[in-house]
Amino acid sequence: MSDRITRRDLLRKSAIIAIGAAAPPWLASIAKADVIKLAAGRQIDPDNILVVCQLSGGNDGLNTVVPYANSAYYASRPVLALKEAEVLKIDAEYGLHPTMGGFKSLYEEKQAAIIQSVGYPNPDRSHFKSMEIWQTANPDGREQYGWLGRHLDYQMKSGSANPVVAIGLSRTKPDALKAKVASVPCFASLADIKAFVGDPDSERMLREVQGMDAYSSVDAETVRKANLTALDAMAELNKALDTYTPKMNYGTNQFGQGFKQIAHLIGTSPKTRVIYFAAGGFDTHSQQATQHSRLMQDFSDALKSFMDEMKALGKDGKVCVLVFSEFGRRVRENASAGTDHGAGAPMFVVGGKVQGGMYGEKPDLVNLDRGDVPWRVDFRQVYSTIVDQWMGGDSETLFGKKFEHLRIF
Amino acid sequence: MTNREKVAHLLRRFGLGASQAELGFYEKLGVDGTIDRLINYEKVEEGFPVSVWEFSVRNNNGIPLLQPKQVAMWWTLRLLTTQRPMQEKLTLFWHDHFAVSASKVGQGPVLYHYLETLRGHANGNFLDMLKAISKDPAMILWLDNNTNVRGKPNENFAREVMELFTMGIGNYTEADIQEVARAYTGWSFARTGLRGQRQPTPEEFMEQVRTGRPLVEFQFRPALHDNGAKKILGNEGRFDGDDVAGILCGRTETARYIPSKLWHWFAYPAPEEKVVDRLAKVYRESGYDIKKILYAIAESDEFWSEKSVRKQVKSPADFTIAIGRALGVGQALISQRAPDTDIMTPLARQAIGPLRSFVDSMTNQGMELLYPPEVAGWDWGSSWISSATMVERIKLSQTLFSGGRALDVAGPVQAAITASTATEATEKLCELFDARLDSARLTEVEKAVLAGGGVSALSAPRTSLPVVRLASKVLFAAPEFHFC
Repeated sequence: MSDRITRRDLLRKSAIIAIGAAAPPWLASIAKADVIKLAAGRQIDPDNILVVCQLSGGNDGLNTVVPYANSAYYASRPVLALKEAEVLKIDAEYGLHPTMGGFKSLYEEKQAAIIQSVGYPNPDRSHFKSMEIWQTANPDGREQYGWLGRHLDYQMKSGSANPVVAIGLSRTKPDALKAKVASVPCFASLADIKAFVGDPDSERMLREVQGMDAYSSVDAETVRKANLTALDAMAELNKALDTYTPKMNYGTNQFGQGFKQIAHLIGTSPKTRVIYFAAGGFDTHSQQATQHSRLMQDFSDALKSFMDEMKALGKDGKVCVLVFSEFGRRVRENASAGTDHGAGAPMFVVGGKVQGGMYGEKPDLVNLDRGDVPWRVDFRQVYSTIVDQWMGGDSETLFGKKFEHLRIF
Repeated sequence: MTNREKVAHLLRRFGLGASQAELGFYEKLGVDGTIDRLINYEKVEEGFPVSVWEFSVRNNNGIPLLQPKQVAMWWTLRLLTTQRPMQEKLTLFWHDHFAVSASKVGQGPVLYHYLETLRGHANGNFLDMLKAISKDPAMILWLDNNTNVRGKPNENFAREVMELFTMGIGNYTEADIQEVARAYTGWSFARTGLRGQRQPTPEEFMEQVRTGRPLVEFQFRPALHDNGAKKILGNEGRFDGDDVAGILCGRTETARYIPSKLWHWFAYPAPEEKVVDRLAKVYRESGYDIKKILYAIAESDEFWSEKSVRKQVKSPADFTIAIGRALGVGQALISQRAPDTDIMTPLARQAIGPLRSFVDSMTNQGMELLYPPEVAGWDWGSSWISSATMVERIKLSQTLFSGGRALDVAGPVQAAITASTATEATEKLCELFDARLDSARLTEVEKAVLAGGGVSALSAPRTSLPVVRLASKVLFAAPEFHFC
């Protein structure tokens, strides 16, 4: 057995050191430095996969992780508040939405981290702007490329990327995947790939029409490269997709279909490291209860099926699912039995190597930020933790400064 | 260049693609006649009778609702159909320049009137246009000018009117922004027609729609306007927004910025100094006449140079709409309307389905009409190109020619490319889609014609579909096909 100290050992130790009041400060700082060094030194499993699941429209965090012991919650939401008796309690103060049984079992297995009160300085209540901020991870200015796109560019410095290293399961390319150098293919559905590539003859023709000669124009070369990237990605996936079919039961709703395809990709495309998936319908300004209930159930069931599938594949320890929405919703319900755009909200990180539990700070329902849950954890802390400790990247390069890590791994 | 090639170049740049029908028509007018008809489009019958309200759906109370996506669909049909292609090409330019997104301005009718503001001034006077768009409710809402009030100025519009709309970044100070914001205080909007809380009846609502009066209009609120003296870019006075527009249009920076951007849209990026000098002079001497600038562009040698012709990356609109126009999709869809259509008659479902393919394709290629990605609009040129967007472009061939659709667009292709040899069929296909491929790539398309079933299959609609589908797929994948 190797006596080399592993990153995980160190993390555990540093966590203990940090918690132990008796630990001398110098020891804590050395341990911390070592953690950072190890993280930067690529001691991270190169097979790790990040799945990003975006809840578009602003998910109502308070009706997802319900503060059932908080009277301010009930006072603000006479119609929409979920009763103590119906929530799925996870501790003495919080319970999950009644439909989230699947997520609760993941939480009980310590595979799900709930990070409370996540947001960013000067929260923007516009979907458009806030989503842009989350996807580019730059609340202060305009940023052309996405946080994952920049990470992929950074990784491309150490060699050329595989055509399917990152994949968007979406019609349009999310800002998060926009990169300067890395070309990230996006597909509305995996079924499209088979339909598109077609028979070998057709694929060969699509390739050959790109030409072999050097083009005089830079733009023409860009077109040619983009076409070849797409063809490479599709060729690689087209062969692979037949080798495995997801076995678990997924619904026909957007989450079921999304996670089924993610499972399909992970089961068949060993080189894929980042998968991005977005689901909509969270902008619940009116008659929220039914809609939100359905979304929570679809999300939770699909995620559970997905993690079960990963376990069956022996990949649960290789997968980390990051779940976010562009903002939470207003604490006080509105007059249409709905909620308006808010600020701070919970984020989830789920995976076999995730240290499940509650992180961040309890939502403060008294000292509100313009009626909303104030943010206490910058989302870039979560991103940084994942970039540095899960993906072997360099958060400081991506985000322009260091953010304090969370101990979720 | 032959006259036909010159006319085709004009149609690609000052129009929405050189379809065979248009090419045949404009060629007879000659180059000057074509320039004149394209730019001076007021004298041309538009040939687009469809009201945006035909795309609306009734709510439970019988009131028509118009969503942004329905307005985008209506606009797409207009792009596919219009006999004034330059009018739409310019409207698209101004939509990018004075970008407003439905992500914030969610009301279809407000966006519709915003588009009409742009369209109405598209080849007019730039100062008039700037004044009009500054008072457009969509713009006011988009850049928060409705919250810009005396004592509490909101600088959002003030910044963009200088940075994006006129002079360009770096030509003013933060103090100028604050002063400009004061000038626009009290510029807001209000609902027209019915007052108070009561919802209109369906009859009242439709009556107002029929009059053409917007549901929301500019409103000046004197009590919220800061009437004090302002100091703006060295000028002093009790300026309001119209005064500011005058000051900004008169700046030398604007005289260079606006014509350069037009040149970029119609010719190529980063025009030479001498080109900008020439256009800036036209801008100033004509009193900001957009039409004069467009003529100057068309009459520049550089516009006709090798650097320009077929060297511009097609935008998703250039790509998608030109294909649709080559296939006559707009006319085919409009012919499905009931002959006695009222402005409130919902458009037939079979017309909306195929239209959605075009809207979706453009969206997936990165250009969702009415949803520009940011205040600065879209990025042009090679920014349109990525593996994902190229897949969408190539995939359009499969969407269009999948068969069994409400609208048969494979039929016209089959008819157009029926030939006695595969080489001839290939040439005809390229002609249909205005593609110029080098010989090596032509060979690949020809192979696709043969692999799909060959010329014998082209003789009947039933067997021609695989040929049309495969050959157009390979053609759409050719790098040259993405330049106009």
